[in-house]
Amino acid sequence: MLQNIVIGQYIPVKSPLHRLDSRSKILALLLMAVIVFFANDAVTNSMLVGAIVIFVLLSRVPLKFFLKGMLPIFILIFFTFFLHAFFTNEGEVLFTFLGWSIYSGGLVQGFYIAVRIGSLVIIASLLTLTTSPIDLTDGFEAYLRPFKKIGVPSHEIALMMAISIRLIPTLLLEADRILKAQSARGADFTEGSLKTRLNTMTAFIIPLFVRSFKRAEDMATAMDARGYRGGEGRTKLRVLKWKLRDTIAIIIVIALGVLLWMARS
Amino acid sequence: MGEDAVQITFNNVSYTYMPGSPFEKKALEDVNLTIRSGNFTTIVGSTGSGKSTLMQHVNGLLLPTEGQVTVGNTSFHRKTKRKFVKPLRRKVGMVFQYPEHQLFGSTVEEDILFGPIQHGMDAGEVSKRIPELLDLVGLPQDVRDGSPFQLSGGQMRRVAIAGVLATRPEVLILDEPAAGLDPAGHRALLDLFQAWHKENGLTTVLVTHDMEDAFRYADEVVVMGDGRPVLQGEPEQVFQDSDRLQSLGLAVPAAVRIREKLNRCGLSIDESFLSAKQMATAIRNEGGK
Repeated sequence: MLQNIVIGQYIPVKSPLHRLDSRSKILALLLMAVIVFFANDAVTNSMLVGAIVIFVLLSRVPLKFFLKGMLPIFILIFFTFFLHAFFTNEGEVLFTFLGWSIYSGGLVQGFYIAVRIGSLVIIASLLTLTTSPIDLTDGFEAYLRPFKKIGVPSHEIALMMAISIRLIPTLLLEADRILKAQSARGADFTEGSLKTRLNTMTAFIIPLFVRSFKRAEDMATAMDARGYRGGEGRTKLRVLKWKLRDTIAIIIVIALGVLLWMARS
Repeated sequence: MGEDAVQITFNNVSYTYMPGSPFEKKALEDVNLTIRSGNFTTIVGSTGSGKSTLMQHVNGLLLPTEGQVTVGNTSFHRKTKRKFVKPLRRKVGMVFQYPEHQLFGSTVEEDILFGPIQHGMDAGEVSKRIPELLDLVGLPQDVRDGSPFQLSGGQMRRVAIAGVLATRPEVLILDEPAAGLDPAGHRALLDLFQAWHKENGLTTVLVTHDMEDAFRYADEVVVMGDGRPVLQGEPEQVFQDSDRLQSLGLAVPAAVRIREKLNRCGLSIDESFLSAKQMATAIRNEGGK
C-alpha cells in the first residue's frame, strides 16, 4: 500500500553522476539553485532546460522517478503559473476571460517561473536519487565541520540525518505491516464518518508510535553497547575523495552559470 | 459455522511487488493451489519463498497481479474493487507475525472489541464473550480493564490473538504466530489454535518455516519454493522427499532425519513412524531383533 512512496530515494545504478563525490554534488546543487534564477528569456530558459535534460540523462535514473517526485509540486507550479498569467499586465492582450485580461507577457512570465521551480525540484531530486544516504550525510557533515568552532554539533546533526534517512524505509515497512494488520481486523481507512475514521486512524498511529519509540530505545542501547561516544576522535571507514571529475563537474556548472548570465537579457 | 467450512483456491495467481520499478520483484509465479475446507494446512518455505505474500491474498490485502483467488463463494482478481473484498475480512481471521505490534487500545477490552466493531458486530454481545475469550487464550480475567501495554510480550500477543478470534472467523490464517516465544509458549499457542480449529471446524492455514510444527499440526503440508508451491500432500508423504526439501533450504523433521541415518546403518524402520514416540517404539522393536 505504501510501496510507491519515494522520499529521498536512492536509485543504485551506475552513472557519471553516481560516481561524483557527494560534496561536489551538494555544491553543484547550491550553485544551480542560484543559476536557475539567471534565466529570464526564451534563449536562456531553453539553455537551462537543455542542461537539466542532459543532467537527467547522465544520471541514468528512469524518468518516472522524476515524474513521481514532481507530482506533489505540480499544484504549486500550476498555481504560480496561473497567478502570473492573471496578474501580469505586460505585452499584448491575448483574450479577455470573465472581465480578466490575459496578457502575453503574463503567460510567458508564468511559464518561465514554472520552468524555474520544475528545474529546482528536478535538480534536488537528482542529488538524492544519485547519492546514497551515507555519502549524502558524510557530505553534509564535511560542509558543517567548519561551524563546529561556533558550537554547531556537526557530527550529531549528520548522525541524526543518517539515522532518519536510514529509518524511512523501515518506518514505511512498519506502517505497511500495521496497516495490513488493522485492515485484516476490518479497519477501513477510506470510508465512514470523520469520527469513525479518526478512531480508525488511532489504531494505525498508536502502534506506529509505540514501535518507533521502542526502536529508538533499542538503537540507543545498541549504540551504547558498542561504545559509541559521539564524534570526538572518531575516524571514518569510508573517506570522501575529491577527484578530478568533481572539479570538472563544478567547472561545468559554473560555466553554465556564466553562459546564462551573459546570454540573459 | 462449521457445517460448510471454506475452501481456498488459487488459479494461476501471480503477484509482483512494485511493478515497473528497479525494485520490481516477482513474489508469486503462476500459483495453482487448493486449500481444502476444514483442513489444518501448513505452508512451509524458506525466507522469501512467497508464503506470506500468498496468504495475504486470502483476505484481499493483496490483489493478484494475474489470476484469480476464490475463498468460499467469493472470487476476486486484479480489478476487483477493494470494497467488494472487505466482507471477506470478517470471514478470514489473520494473525500476523508479532501480532502484539497491532495493539493500540487504552484497555484490553477496547482492543479486543476493535475488530468486531469495525465489522459491524454487536459490541454488547461480543463484550459478554470477553471472559470466555480471555480464558481461551490463557489470560487472567483481571487484565480486561488494564492497558495492554503494561502486559508482558507474551501476554500482549495473547490479547492480539483474542482480538482476531473475537470476530469468529471461519478461516484462520496464522503467519508465524509463535515467532520469538519460548518453546513452552510456542507449543501452548499452537496447541490453542489447533484446539480452536477442531472445535469450530475452521479452515486453518499455518505459515511457518519450522518443519517440526508443520509436521506436528498439519493435515496437509504445502512446500513453497521460489514463488510457487513445489510439494503438497500429507506430512508423511511430503517429508519423505528429504533431498528435495534440503535443496529448497528446508530442514527435515528430526524424526525423519534420525530414521534415515539408522536405516543407512542397516536398520529398517518403517516410513510411517514420524512422531518422537513412534520412533522410540520403532527403534526399540528394531533393536530387539
